[in-house]
Amino acid sequence: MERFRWRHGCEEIREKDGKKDKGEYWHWGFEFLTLCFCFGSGGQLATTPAVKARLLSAALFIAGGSDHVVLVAPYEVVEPLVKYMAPLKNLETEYPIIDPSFRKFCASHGIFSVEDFLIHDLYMLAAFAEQDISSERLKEGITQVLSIIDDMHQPWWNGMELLEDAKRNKHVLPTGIQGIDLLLGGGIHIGQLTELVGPSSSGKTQVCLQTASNVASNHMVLYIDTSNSFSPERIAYFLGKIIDVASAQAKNQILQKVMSNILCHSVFDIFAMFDVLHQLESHLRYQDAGGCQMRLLIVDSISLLISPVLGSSSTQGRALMLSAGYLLKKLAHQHNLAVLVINHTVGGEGGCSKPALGDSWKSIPHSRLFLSCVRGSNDYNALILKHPSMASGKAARFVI
Amino acid sequence: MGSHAKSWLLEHETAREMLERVQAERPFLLLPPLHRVPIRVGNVVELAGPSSSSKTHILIQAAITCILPKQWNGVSYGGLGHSAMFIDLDCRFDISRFSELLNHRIMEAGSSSKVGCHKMESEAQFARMEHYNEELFALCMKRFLYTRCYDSSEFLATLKTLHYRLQKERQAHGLNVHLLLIDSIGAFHWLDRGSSSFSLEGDNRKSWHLQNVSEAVVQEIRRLLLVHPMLVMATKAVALGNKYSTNELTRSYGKWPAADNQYSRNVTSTDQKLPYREYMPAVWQSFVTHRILVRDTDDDSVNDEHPNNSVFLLEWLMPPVNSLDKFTVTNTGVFILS
Repeated sequence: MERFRWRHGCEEIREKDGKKDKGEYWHWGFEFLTLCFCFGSGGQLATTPAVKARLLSAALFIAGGSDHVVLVAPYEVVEPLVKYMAPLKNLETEYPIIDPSFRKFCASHGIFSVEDFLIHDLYMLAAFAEQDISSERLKEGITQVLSIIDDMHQPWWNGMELLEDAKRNKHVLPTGIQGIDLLLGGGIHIGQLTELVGPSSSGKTQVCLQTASNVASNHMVLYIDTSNSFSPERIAYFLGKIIDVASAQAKNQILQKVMSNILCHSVFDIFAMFDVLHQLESHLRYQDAGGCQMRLLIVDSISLLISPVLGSSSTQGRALMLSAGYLLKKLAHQHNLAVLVINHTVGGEGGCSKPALGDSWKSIPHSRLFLSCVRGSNDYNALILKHPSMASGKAARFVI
Repeated sequence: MGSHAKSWLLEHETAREMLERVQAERPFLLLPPLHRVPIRVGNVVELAGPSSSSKTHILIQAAITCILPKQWNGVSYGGLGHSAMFIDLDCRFDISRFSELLNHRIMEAGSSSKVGCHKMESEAQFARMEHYNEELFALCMKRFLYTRCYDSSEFLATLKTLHYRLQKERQAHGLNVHLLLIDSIGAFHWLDRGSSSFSLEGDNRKSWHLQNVSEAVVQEIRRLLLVHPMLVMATKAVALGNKYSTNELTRSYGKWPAADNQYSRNVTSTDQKLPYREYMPAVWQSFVTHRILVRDTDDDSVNDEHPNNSVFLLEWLMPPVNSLDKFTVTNTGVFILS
């Protein structure tokens, strides 16, 4: 008898007698009920993956009575669904204590999934369980659920462990631009999100390209390009200045090798960026420890992706922006990347410009640098708006 | 029956004894720069302020004061000697900065205790001092517990399992957590507001929206405080109104002449109205027992000693204290200017 198994992504959907078969179910005709939901990146539903997952889970509760459910959705929607919002029935195979009587008890208190346990008062639930006949078993079930919940959050570290991790993994990546490196105390930090904000042609993309070429000599770089501003010629120009080899042929070889370390993806809406980032996450999770590691992620520019959604509907837009920000910070911390994002400016009060994306974005990046060009020269100015260990207001000039 | 009633009337302790006991078990803490109002275990302190106004630094300062011992190896550090827990909802905590500040505090206390005694006579003494400092550093860092949460589900999961974690810590290391720091409490506000609710399958099913999530958070912290009495300090990012706005760009470029500025930057909020728009739900607002507003100022005249550091203003909103404290953040921590 076929059993429904949760699968991530759009892989094989069911297993029949141990054989994975994608096409065979079509032969069944009308014998099974299929509920098929497709949330693509076409942007029809301009909301966060978490909300999409909630929609899906609601639909799945409706389908709970049927035997077969076909689920077609992107990974970032299915993952929270499987973790938190699946009906408790799905946990029975792994945890036999979550039997029908326990589920009935939970249902009587309005708890149908693990997520419901999070917003309910578990002490009250235990008190109710006490009054029930099979109180011991129920309390065992609650304890089991608590241990499932314990796996759902990030681990606790103590200060020494955190410091060890920072010393071992969270180094500083020099940008190759002397003024900026001196200002930031070495360069941009791995594990942190650095924002470059400034009016147009204030050198933001140039700084990103220069940093990418500097880092690519030793590590891999992912450049997410939203405005067709990635320029291989500029990268070659920057590399030409640092590669110090006599023969042109050897220089060319090194150039090829280093440039192959830079991956460039063009995205034009925020859902495409979520796609790229989730692909990156699964790639980084399974990559081997040796070889060339990815250490730099550049998003040029994130404001072009977020501003369209921010304008239309205020809560969903802000929620999408914050989701993107948290995803970038998670990638930075868990996979030891330095993330560099570009933001542009909008007109503020008194005619002076202020960074775009509003107040809610301000608390997302670790460091914020305001770039501007100095009139009448080739120099640029960098001003610290925010930094974890430097006072804001420090400025420096740099040249590209 | 008679003896029962009598045993009710027998006194256990006098009021004075009780006051002494409570003050010993739950002493009033005066943590600079929050030294104007004494706070103690069981209080919930909310630090509100715009972005980049050193709120996290105040939390770090409190944590360092908590984890340092009162006395160690003959040197007095003035700490509490308890553990501190830091729940990072902003996911921006910098452990290197924390360890830098801790090291500076240890060395400062160590060097100041030598004043009055004879100076270090030999290299061996110096090396021993360094060794003690390192030992103390490791001891203190182990008392600092940290976790981060990327969304409300993880935050709630952390809070629900915190009781067992604390029990385990107490049994394993004999550590008592005295301080719970949350940075920042409004981090998932917009994410939860965006989460629409679809309640199906039963009328008593709670849906996942902002109100329910906030109630669950407050309830969990309240329960935790009953069993593990702690001081809770939470930061909250707010956007101040025009009266208080300091555009960080104008600070370096724009030279607003002082006469031009209609509203003096050093104004206190004298009326009942809050200077910022409150966005946290009522259940959290009523849970908070103390409220502080921090903001930065471009008052450079006071800042002669520390030219590179910004000056911040601290204002007590609840209980209202009609004065502003000025402080700055240096390499050794928060330094009160006035």
